[in-house]
This record gives sequence, C-alpha cells and structure tokens, in this order.
Amino acid sequence: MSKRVLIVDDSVFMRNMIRDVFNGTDFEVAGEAANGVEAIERFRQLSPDLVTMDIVMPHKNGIEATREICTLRPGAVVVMCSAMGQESLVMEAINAGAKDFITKPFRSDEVLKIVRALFP
Amino acid sequence: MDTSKYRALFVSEAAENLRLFEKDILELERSPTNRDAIDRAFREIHSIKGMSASMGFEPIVDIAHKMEDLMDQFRRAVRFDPGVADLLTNCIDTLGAMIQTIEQGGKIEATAVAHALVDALTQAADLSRVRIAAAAVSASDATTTKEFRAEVPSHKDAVKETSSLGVSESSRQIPAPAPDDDSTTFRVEVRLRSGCAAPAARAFLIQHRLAGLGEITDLSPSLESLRAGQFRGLLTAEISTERTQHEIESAVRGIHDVEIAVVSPAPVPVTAPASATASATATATASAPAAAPVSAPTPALAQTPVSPTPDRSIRVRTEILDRLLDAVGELLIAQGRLRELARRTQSLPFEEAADRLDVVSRDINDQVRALRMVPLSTLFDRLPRVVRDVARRREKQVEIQVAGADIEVDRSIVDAIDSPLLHVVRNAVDHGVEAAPARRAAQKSPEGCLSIDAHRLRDQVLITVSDDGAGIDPNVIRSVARARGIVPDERLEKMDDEEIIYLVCMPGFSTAATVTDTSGRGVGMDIVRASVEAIGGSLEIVSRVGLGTTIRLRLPLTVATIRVLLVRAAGETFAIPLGSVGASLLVPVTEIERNRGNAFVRHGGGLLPVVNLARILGLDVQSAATPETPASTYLLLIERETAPIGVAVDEILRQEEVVVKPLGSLLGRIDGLSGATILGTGRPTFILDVPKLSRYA
Repeated sequence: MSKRVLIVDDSVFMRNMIRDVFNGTDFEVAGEAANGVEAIERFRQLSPDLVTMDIVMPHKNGIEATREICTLRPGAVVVMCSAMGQESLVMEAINAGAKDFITKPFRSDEVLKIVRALFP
Repeated sequence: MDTSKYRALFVSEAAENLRLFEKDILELERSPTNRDAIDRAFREIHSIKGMSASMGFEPIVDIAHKMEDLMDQFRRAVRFDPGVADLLTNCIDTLGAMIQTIEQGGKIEATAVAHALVDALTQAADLSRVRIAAAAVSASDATTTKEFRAEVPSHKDAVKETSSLGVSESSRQIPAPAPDDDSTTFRVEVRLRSGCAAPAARAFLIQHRLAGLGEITDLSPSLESLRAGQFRGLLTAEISTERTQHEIESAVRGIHDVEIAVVSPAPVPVTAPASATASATATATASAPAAAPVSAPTPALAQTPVSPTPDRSIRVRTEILDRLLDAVGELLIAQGRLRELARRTQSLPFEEAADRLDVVSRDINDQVRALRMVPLSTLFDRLPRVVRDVARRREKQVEIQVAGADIEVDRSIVDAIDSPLLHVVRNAVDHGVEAAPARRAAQKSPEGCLSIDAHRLRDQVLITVSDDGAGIDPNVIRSVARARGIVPDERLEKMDDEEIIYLVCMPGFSTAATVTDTSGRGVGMDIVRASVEAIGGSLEIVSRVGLGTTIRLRLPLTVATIRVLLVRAAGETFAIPLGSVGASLLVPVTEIERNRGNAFVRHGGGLLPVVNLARILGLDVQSAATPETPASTYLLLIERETAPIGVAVDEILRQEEVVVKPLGSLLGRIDGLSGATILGTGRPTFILDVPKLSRYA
C-alpha cells in the first residue's frame, strides 16, 4: 500500500516540485500545508505516514511544527527540507524529532532514497 | 531534474517575494526595530534562495544567500541597520534583473556587479556580527566585558549557537540506556560522500541515530564542532550498547550520503577513561554556551501570530487570462449577433433563449474581469523606493504617504499606467518638492510631503498624486510656451491660468532648467497624458504657486469593454465612447449661426463651436446626405480640456457596450481612431477619439 505524504512548505514552487518527486511512486501526496500551524492541523486530519517539512515558514516554523507533531505521534516520520546554510537548524530539527533531512537543491532519486530508507 | 517546467512558477513566486522583500526593507529603513518586518524579510529572501538553488540559478543563490545571512544578523539583533539599505536595494535591483532575464528565457551570469554585491554583503554581515556581539556584551555585566569582547567576534557563530540550540534538549531527547555489564563498546568510523550537501548536519544525524542505540562515550569531531559546522568528512564515535555489531553497522549504512561505515569492537580501556571522556564531553557541551553571551535576545525562528485563514489561491499566467478575456469578448460579440437575429425573427422562445444566454455571458464576462483584477499595491509598493532614491539623489527630504493600495483594477490598466505614474511621482519629487533650505525660506517644514491616494468612484478609479512643493507658476509656463511657440500668441493671451498649466502636457514642453536623470528626459507629461487617455482615462492638474501641485489620473477600472454611443455620419456608423460625450442636443438648423466659415450655436450662455463629424473625417457629406434637408440636427457635446465643442451627426442610434479591439499597426497610426469593435449586426465599426479628431476641425 502506498505511503501517504503531507508536504509542508510556504512556497507553492517548492510544494509543486516536491509533489512531482512523489508523482508515480509508491508515495501518494495526501495534502499540503503552507505553514507550521496548518501543518499540525493537516497532520491531525490526515495522519500521514510521512511529512516533508520546510524549516523557515511564517506563523510557526518547521522546527516547532516538527516538535509538536512528534509529541502528538511519537513515531511520526518527519523529513526536513533544508537549504544550504541551515545546518544548525537541521540539527535542532533532528533534536526536535525529525528523522532525516534533504537539502535544496535536491534530486528526486535522492529524496526517494532518503524517504524509502525510513520505511524499511 | 528537468526544471524548465517550473520556470514560470519560479519567476512569479521569486518576483513576488522580491517585491515583498523590498517593501519590508523600506519599512525597516523607517523603523529598524520592526521585528515582524525583519522576520518577513528574512523569510522572503530565504525563499528566493531556496527556489533559485532548486532551479540551479547559482548567481541568484550567491547573492540571496549573503542577503539572507545579513538579514539573519539583524534578526538576532532585533534591529535592522539602515546603513545597509542602499546595498540591499542594489541587490534587489540586480536580482530583479536576473529574474527578468530568466522570464525572458535568457541565461543569467554572475557579473562583476554580482560579485561586488556578494563581497559587500559579506563585509556587511561580518560587521553586523561584530556589532551584535559587542552590543550583547555591553548589555551583559560590565565587569566581564573585557573577557567576552576578546572571545566573541573570533567565533563566527557564537551568537547563533547560544540562541538556536539548547544542548540540554538533545540530552533529554536521546534515550540513553545506562551501560551495564551486557553492553559492549564499539568504535564506529563513518566517511561521508564528498558531494554531501550538509555534511555537518549529516554527521549530527548519524551521531543522533547512534545515540538512540546506546550511549556515545566518545565523539570526534565533538558536538560543538559539528554545530559550528566544522566537519571534514570523517566521523568517529565510540558507543556503549547492548546491540550487536551488525545492528549498528546496518543502522549507519542505511543513512543517506554514508560512503563507508566501519564498526569494530573498541580497544578495552585499561582503567575507566571512557566514562571520564564522556563526562568531559558532556561538561564541555554544557559549558560552551554558558561562556558565550547568553543574553542574545532572539530565538532562531521567532513565532509570528497565528493567521486563522491562510490564503487559498492559485497562480495563473497572465496570458491565459488575456486569452480568456479575448474568448469572452468573442462570446459577447456572437451573443450580440444572436440577439439581433432573435429580434428579427420575432420568435418569442428564441428571444427568451437569447436573453437567457445574454445573462449568462455577461456573468461570465464579469467573472473573467474579476479574475484580472489586481490591487493597485502592485504599482504603489514600488513608489516609496522611487521617491526615496530620487529624493536622495536630489538631496531633498520627502515623506511619502500612500493610501488606497487595496483598490483593484484590471491588469491592463496597471500595465498601462505603470510608467506614467512613475513619471508623475518622480516629477513631484524632482521638480515639485523644494530642497530643505528653500522650504525653510518659504516657512514650510524642511521635509516635503507627497501623497499618493487612490479612490474608487463607481466604475472609475481616481489616483491623486499631491505634493506640497513650489507649485507650477503659470507665468513661467506662459513665457516658455511663448518662447517655444507651442501655441499661437493670440490663443495664449486668451488662456487663463488654469488652462495655461495644461500646456505642460503639450509635446516638447519641459520647463526643467536642467536635464536631470530622473524626470528631465524620457517620458514627458505629454506621454503621461497620452497613455492615460489611450485607456479611456483623463488627466487633471491643479496647482497653486507656493502650495503645491495635485495631479489626478482618472482611470476606468477596466479597459476590456466600454459603453459607446453609436452614431451615423455620411451613411456610416461610428462608435463614440460615452465617457467623452457630455450631452446630446437636438438643435434646429436655423439656430446654427455662421461667422466667417465657422459655425456656432448658443449654448449655456456662450457660443459653442460646431463641427460636422463627416467633414472632419473627410467623408463625402453631399452624396450621403438625406435628400430633403432636415429641420434640425443632432449635436454631441464633446468635453475637451480647453473648451467643449459640438459635433454634428446625422443620427444617434443607441448606446451599446462593446468589446474594444485594438487596431493593427497600420490603422493604429491614424490619429483619432482609438480602436474598433464588432456590432451586434456583425459589422465592424471604428471607435472614434472625438476630442482628438475635433482638433482637425
């Protein structure tokens, strides 16, 4: 059965790009959110298997959202979408419960490899 | 990855973020401690960086990355440095130009300018770091100032460290089972791929996963080094665990970007150095932040208030909307034809069906037009920056107030008045507002005031650009007009001050004593007026010497369709925009007076000059005229800037809402024709610009 993904990013551009990564794979995009608050809301509604989480977002950043999601569901699989120069934030996100991260610019095959490794 | 299909989305979103970023920087220049603006600006430039990296637009990434870094410094300090505003606005221009190049399908390159910007940004960020560190130190206990000052600037990310990463958190979250007798200590050596994007973060993730499997008793590089981004590709750890060697191996090998992972039993310690090392590491970790200035005030990512309803919108390319509007225009034309047919057949069901279709098509038309509406902020948001730049260059102080930016108008109106409005605003700063000494001499406050205000009046929008500057002196205009022979002297004599001011809109008129690079050349007021009139708008100028100038642009909300009056002249049907017709009169032929070849009627207490539409169009009046001479004639009262004029037509048919079709390049050059349309009967008709035509009378 395909895994359901929640894409969290404040940029439509990035959401589209990530959506396309999962297109035609064993991952199915269940929903999108444009900020941390919306992410938590959508997470509660959709109970996705995987969350791709941007870090810098309005209303609530990705680290806070990850922390809350991982408190809601301790086993939640959250993968951070970081940009270069955000290493210390990624580390903070890992401490907050993120399982792995991808770095923009990313390649589809890399992203898929990373997320598949999280569902052995 | 094929990124070409993301190009359009990239351009629109990056340009939007850049526009917002500029707005926030201008805001911060005024109020440097506006925390929300700092946060927004940071996020906006961060987004641009991320998107550009994904598209492989390296020259943008280089600049945006440095801009982000600089904004990050301000975020930590909760204070923007207005001293870098010029640098940032230069960056905005460069990025804007790059995005535009991409939009036009071009390739961007890292130019010398781009390199210079990157260098300047790096310097600015370094300077800010030192300043922030110094500020943090001076804010802390004065007695310890010396020691801190020596330490802090030397460590690039000292402030970042303390503010964003709580070490206690990491130790709390890692389930670290206490080593007991069943546990073994393994040495884990991991080498990352050389192309790994974020090696320190990757190494951090590896140690985090290891920590979930046991207790890390030794780590190289240390956690602090990793957090500071120091990592050279090889991570070594000793882990005390109950798991097997194989379990550890497969856990590490499954991690992305791991090239080699070797797990081997650790050499058995002679005494108990392992735990000593561990506690030493722990101490170092815990004490490092404490030594740095803990008073750093901002958390790494400040939270902004929750917005209850995020915007639900999609982006649509403008060309698609243009095509949709065209299609709806065609639909309305076809619909008009159908109605005409229905009327002729006099079949009630047919007419009813046509009426129903009429209602639906009009509804579609309204919806499509609503889709094309954009807020005036797309124009207005740039103005503070323009005013600031011009004012600075001309060494003037100008305060700008903008109101009504949320009023929505058709995209094509925004496009059409973009440069005219810019010109009017630049003019106001350049020639209107005086420099501070002159203002003081005139007993005004040294800072000039420029207000840009939009109001909606039914189906029009009124944009008012008003300054409190020196005003336009009619005597100066008069003498320039005389010197340049812009209007004949005898006409000049008759013009009052209000009319005289409008001469600035005549081609070739410029009173600027010197040519400046802002508004002394390029488009003049004549082009401004022409552009405004081309979309069915009008321009008004009110000026008082010493008090200032107000320029009003009266614009339609949309140019897609206009209401016209259909008239007949010399057997032909013509459309005249209703906006230019003040009234229509039926005048007995006997009341038309003739004086030396000119015709007049008495109207409203004065003499109204009368011209014949067929005659000014150069049509054959005689052959088309009705056999018997009519007893009265229709006059359209056409409003002009100077004085109204009566235009005689053979017949007034009806009013109609028509879709304006632009003329081709050949017909478009004919003065007095503003477009064409197709009537309900299927016949094409010219839309006349009567005020312009009447000059040929």
